[in-house]
Amino acid sequence: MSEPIKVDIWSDVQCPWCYIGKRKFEDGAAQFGGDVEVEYHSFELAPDTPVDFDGSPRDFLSQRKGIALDQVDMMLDRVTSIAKDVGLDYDYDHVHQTNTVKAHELLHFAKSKGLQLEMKEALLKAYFVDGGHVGRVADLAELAVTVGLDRDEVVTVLEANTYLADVKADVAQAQAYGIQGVPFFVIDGKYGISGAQEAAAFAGALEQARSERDAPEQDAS
Amino acid sequence: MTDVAASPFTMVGDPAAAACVGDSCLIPEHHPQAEVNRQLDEDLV
Repeated sequence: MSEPIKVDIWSDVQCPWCYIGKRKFEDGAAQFGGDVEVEYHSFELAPDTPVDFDGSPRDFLSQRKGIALDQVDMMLDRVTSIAKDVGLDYDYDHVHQTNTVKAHELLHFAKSKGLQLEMKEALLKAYFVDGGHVGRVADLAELAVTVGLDRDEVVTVLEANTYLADVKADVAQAQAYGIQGVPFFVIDGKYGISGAQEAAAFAGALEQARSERDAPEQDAS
Repeated sequence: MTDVAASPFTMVGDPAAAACVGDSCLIPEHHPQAEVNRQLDEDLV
């Protein structure tokens, strides 16, 4: 039996296209039908954001980008509508804009326990759908318990910055690869896919990777 | 969204797909029409 196709995904917890892209990738992987091994990597879109940012994403976008609030509302409405198309109910009225470095550290800890995929989904859902806070250690520990991680252990590693170097290494790797935006998918170490592509793009790349793996065996027979 | 010249990967898919760059999450130009098409399909327009 062949090894699963490895998919490395650079993503941030507060990236609306990352959650939409995750759903589209999952759809593409299901269309592909083969074994896929996914690993998430850290990417910080706004690392200078305070954990307790005093305002909503609406305020954040308006202040950072100098965009009028009514235009921000239109943008968020459109993203929310596109999210709905893939079954996600974004609730921007209750999103807590924050710093995501601790969430990324938690994802690395979860990976060490074999629970990274569960933790990633829980973090994205908490941020975009449930109005959860994904910047504070206490809130992250609470969320981590829901996927089977130990609360005290989570608090200990997050307060000790145990996985901070891993987060920064992921960010540096992204920079070395020329990745400027997320989500970014690397299929089998060969194919790069940027953004929330349609499911067919993911399925096609996975199929291409599989066919290239199978080709030498076919030649040998 | 990616510096293709610096990328060691073969890029596939739509180069204009939606992505977040820095603190900006851009919506590609083709999405508004896609949204209108969806609304037409759902008899919302």
